[in-house]
Amino acid sequence: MGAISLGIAAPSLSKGDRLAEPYRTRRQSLSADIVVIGGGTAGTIAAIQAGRAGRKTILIEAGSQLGGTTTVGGVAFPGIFFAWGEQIIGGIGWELVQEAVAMNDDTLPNFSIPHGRQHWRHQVRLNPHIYAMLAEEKMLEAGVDIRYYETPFALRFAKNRWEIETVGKGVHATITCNQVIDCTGNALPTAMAGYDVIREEEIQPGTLMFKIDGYELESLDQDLIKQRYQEALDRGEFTREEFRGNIIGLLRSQGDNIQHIMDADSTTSESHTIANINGRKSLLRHLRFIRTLPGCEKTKLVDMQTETATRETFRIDGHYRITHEDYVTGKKFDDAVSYSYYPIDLHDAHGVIPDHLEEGVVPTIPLRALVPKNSRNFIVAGRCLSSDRLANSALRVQASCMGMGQAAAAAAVLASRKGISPLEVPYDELRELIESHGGIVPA
Amino acid sequence: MEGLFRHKKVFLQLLVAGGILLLAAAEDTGPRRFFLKPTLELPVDTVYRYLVLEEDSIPNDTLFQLRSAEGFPLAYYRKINTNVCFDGTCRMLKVQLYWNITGRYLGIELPPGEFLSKTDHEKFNLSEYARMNHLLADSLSPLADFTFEDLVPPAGDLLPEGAAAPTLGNPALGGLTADAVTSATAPAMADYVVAGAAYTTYRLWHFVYGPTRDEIQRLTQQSLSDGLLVHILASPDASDVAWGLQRAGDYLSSSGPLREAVLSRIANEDFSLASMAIDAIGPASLSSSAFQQALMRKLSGLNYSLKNKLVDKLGEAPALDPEVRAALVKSLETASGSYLSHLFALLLKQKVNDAETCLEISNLLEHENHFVASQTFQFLEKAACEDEVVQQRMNRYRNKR
Repeated sequence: MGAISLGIAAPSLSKGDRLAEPYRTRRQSLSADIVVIGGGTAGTIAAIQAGRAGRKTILIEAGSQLGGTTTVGGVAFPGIFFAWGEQIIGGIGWELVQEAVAMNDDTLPNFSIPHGRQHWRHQVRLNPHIYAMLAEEKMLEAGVDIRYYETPFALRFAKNRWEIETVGKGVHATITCNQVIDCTGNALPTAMAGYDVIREEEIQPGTLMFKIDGYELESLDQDLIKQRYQEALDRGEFTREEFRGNIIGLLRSQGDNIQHIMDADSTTSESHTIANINGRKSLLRHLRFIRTLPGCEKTKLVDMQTETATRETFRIDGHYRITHEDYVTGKKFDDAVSYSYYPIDLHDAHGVIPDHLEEGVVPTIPLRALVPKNSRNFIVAGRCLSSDRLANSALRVQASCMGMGQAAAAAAVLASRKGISPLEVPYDELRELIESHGGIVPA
Repeated sequence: MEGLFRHKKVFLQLLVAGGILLLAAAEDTGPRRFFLKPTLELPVDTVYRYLVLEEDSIPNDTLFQLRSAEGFPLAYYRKINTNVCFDGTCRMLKVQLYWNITGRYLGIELPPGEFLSKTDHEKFNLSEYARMNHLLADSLSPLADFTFEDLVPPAGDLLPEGAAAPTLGNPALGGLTADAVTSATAPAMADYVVAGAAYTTYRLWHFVYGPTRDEIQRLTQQSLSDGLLVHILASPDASDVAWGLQRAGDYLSSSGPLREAVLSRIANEDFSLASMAIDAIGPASLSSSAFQQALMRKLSGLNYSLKNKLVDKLGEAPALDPEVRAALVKSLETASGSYLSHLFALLLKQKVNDAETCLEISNLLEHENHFVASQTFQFLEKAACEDEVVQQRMNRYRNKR
């Protein structure tokens, strides 16, 4: 007892040790022209664009690196940049993809050859770690102040300025800025700012990306394995949803984008924690099971992402809501700022059967779908754009989010220069700015 | 191993004239041929035979190469004799598979009396032959990745007792045959096979894209010349052009027409081909001022992605042509984003640091866009310009930051 008391009263310090000051959260006040919230697929591009266009830009990212779904989520095949032989998404996203491919000695698909109904043939596989580092390098080069491990908890708008309160490790910051770009994918800042957001009763499943190895598929007794798995399913050890009841499919693909975690929701720390735990539990159970199978005893987990990637959470209630009909007919909007191109891709408990676009169709994204109703100096980019569920299942794909990120940032840059809201930006000037930075605006 | 016999045939030219597909003869009276357009439509002068040593599922070991009088390869073919089983009855399928000189599928020829048939013994009709031709031409078909089991649900697919099923080197095919018995093709795969002939489609597709294809490309590559490449780059088939561009680098400097053909592909219409054309350009070509200037003329009309790529390519030049250099420096004034970064990287690579150029560039230190000013400062620092005025401007920028 005496020893304990002594320890509390006066900790013994070794040579070189220093007793820390009593803990207190550091308060900080910062200002910028533009604040980008979320350093994922869209936010990375948005922040680089804003910085390159000369605006003082701060990026807030709750995690430890840039890239979001491409890097942290491990879906390192960021969608499709070419449609029907023509490039439809370019700019900063494409620049990063190209450089990541070149730096890893990977090769781009030949986009001259139509992909037919196998859209994945035009997917570009890249090294996510290289992508994350290149994105960071370009962001710093653009003069962006990156703030990792920080998340907003309040947004207030007054006198044409936003005040954003954020909290991070040991820091409580108040950032004032002229324009906010919500690139969180789940529209949480939009909701914090008091604007309406929408969610489906049932959301698409998430996926924990991983890779397994250590068996020879061809030498396995596949009938026996299927039978064993079916028995395990019947006993309730697994659910069919996890791998659609297809253990051979899992073994053949060795992981990748195959697992489904139902109700995976990244909106809050609590919901994302549950999604992560469920993803890892499912994988661990399967790994243990696979290692009991004849020929699979030495199966190894080679790689696993740190997060369960999610497909769907909240969407904003924007000035225009892109409908499924708009998407599949390739509606051309007068205020279109970017293209999107992907099959309608709604995952559910049974998997996904992509619904391909008709030949020649290239959907577009109007600026109005990026701006919440009743908002000022506020714009979003990424999968939380205003759209119905089916349209969103295609719009959410990374290449589209990159295009949106660049367009939203260009709108915010011009709005910031002129002291107006993104929707009031002259369209021709917006087009010119996007194009001068390599972005592609629908004709 | 190579053999030779003269053939004086002109069938390639005749068969493809005016369309993708031609039926050459009346049913059952002559050979039926279904062809796509080849790269070269010239009369066949000579047929060479090559022994295919590579492990292959095609039992016959001879690959035939057709050549023109000029010595250009025109096409390749192999004779396929293989069993296809229907409801326990197997029959020998005899076809000749043709490949283009670039390795893509070219066509199929059935000898007189030979036919393709389906589960229910029915002979293919014309539209089914056309569909087979179309499916075999799809180099990106999912048939590449799927086992035969994926294609056809296993129930009911077991071969009749005693019948040996070829496995195409894939154990998943052991004991299975699609066109046998009554099993339906898996719905997701129905788009990639001829209805009722899943196994035949699968087998032929894997013949087409098997090791023979690599051998064909190797043989054509042995015959490559400036002249042949010019023909290949003029092909209406984008995959032919891509094939040619990927191999044009070694031949580029010595040929005017080839150089023009490569340059003509550097255009916005097709990113992949333009990209490959830029990749084909090597330092030997870049040593020519005229060639650099030709590239420079291309630059202004190109989209952003290609512009950056072309600027990077100019960086590989042994030395920049003075006119090109001046134009590039001038373009800094209006450049933005990554294009600006690529231009600066090029100038650094080319060791541009003379006082006059640095002075001109240092004006950008006053640019209202901090990104432009910062990129300029970094260039001047790395280029180590020693001019006094430039140094003063840099100091001013440093103090202002």
